[in-house]
This record gives sequence, structure tokens and C-alpha cells, in this order.
Amino acid sequence: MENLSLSITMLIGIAMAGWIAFEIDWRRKRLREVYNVLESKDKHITGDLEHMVELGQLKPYRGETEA
Amino acid sequence: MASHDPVAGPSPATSGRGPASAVPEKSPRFHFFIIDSGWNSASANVLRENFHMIHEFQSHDPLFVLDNRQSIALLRQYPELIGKDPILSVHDLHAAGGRDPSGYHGFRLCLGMLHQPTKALSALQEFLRFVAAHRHSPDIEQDVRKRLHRQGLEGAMEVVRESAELLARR
Repeated sequence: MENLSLSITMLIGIAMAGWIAFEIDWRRKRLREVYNVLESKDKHITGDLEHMVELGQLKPYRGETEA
Repeated sequence: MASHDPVAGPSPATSGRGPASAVPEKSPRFHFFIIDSGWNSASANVLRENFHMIHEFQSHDPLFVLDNRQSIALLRQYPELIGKDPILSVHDLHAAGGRDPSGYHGFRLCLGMLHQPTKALSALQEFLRFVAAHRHSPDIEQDVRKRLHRQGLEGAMEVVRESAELLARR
């Protein structure tokens, strides 16, 4: 009986530790999906945006809005 | 889909009303881009309603606003970003190392990942505060990484605290 109780406690502890690890990892990934530093995989989209500026397809916004 | 600019009416780029010749006198540190394909979401509404604040707080550097059509065309090319917009992308033009072959330097905020208006507004405010506070930093990317690391640790502590509270209730 004592062994069973110990086993259940250990199982709950392992499950809890697993859940904490999963939750921390999930939140870390989520944080990096919201904020991220541009990396080499982003070079194409950043290059495209800068290219649009160079081509004049994008102009600096100066605050004009529809009346 | 309507072709209006989701942020501020027709894009200055396409409306012809923007002062195209108004080039900043000094070389800007950053290029800011807003990509908003037009989702009717809480975070998109937060961005549109507070767009003038973005313009006010980052007036040192050019802000480029993609209209619906341009945003959708871009996201079609990079479908992994669909649903993550509106996106504020900041390119650091003075980054150490310059624009090397690995790509541009900078960072971005994917507001579309936040579904609660208060969280989206808070993230937007924090983003603008961070850029304003670190705009003269020699390596702002490193500052972003440090900030993310700290936030990650805070998140881990929060999970542990929540777990402890959960256990205490039982």
C-alpha cells in the first residue's frame, strides 16, 4: 500500500514536471511568435520590403488621412 | 476584399497625396513597415485606432504603410505570416555589420498573434517604448534578445508560481 502511494505521488510529480516544462516551452515559443528578431530566414521578406521602397512603391507616411 | 488601406485610408504610396519628395534630411536609423491585410480582429482594430500614436512616437524614422493589396500580395508570398498580421517590422539600417548576405537586421511585432485588445495595446505600447528607449543603442537586436530572454524567465517563473498555487488549492 505504501509502495502504491509512493508510486502515485511519483507519477503525479513527473506529470507536473512535464506539464511545467511543456507550458514554459509553449509560452517561450508564443513569445517569439509575437516578438522576434529578424533572422536569415526573413531575408527575403525584408529584402522585398526594402525593394518596394527603392522602387517607389512605398513612400514614407507623413500623417495624411482621409478627411 | 475592399482595397482601402486598413490603417489610415488609402496608402500614401498609391493615393498620390503623400509628399513623395520629402526625404528625411539625416540618414534614418530605422525603416518601419506596417503590414495589415485587413483582418477584422481585435489586434488589427487596436492598431488602426492607435495608428496616429505610432506615427507620433517614431517620427524620427520613415514609416511605410502597405495598403491592403500590397499586404495581401506580400503575405501570399510568405504564407507563414498569414494571420500574424498586423505586423510592425523594424529594419535597422545602421546595424553592426550592415546588410550582410544573411539579410537585413531588425525585429518585428506580430500583433495578430494577440487576441485580446488589452494585450495587443499593451504590446504595441511596449514595442514603441522599447524602440524609443533603445533607438541610439549600438546593437538594438541584442537588446531585443536580452528583453525576450528576461520575459521568458519571467514567464517560466509565472508557470512555476501558477503550479504552486494549483497544488496549494488541492
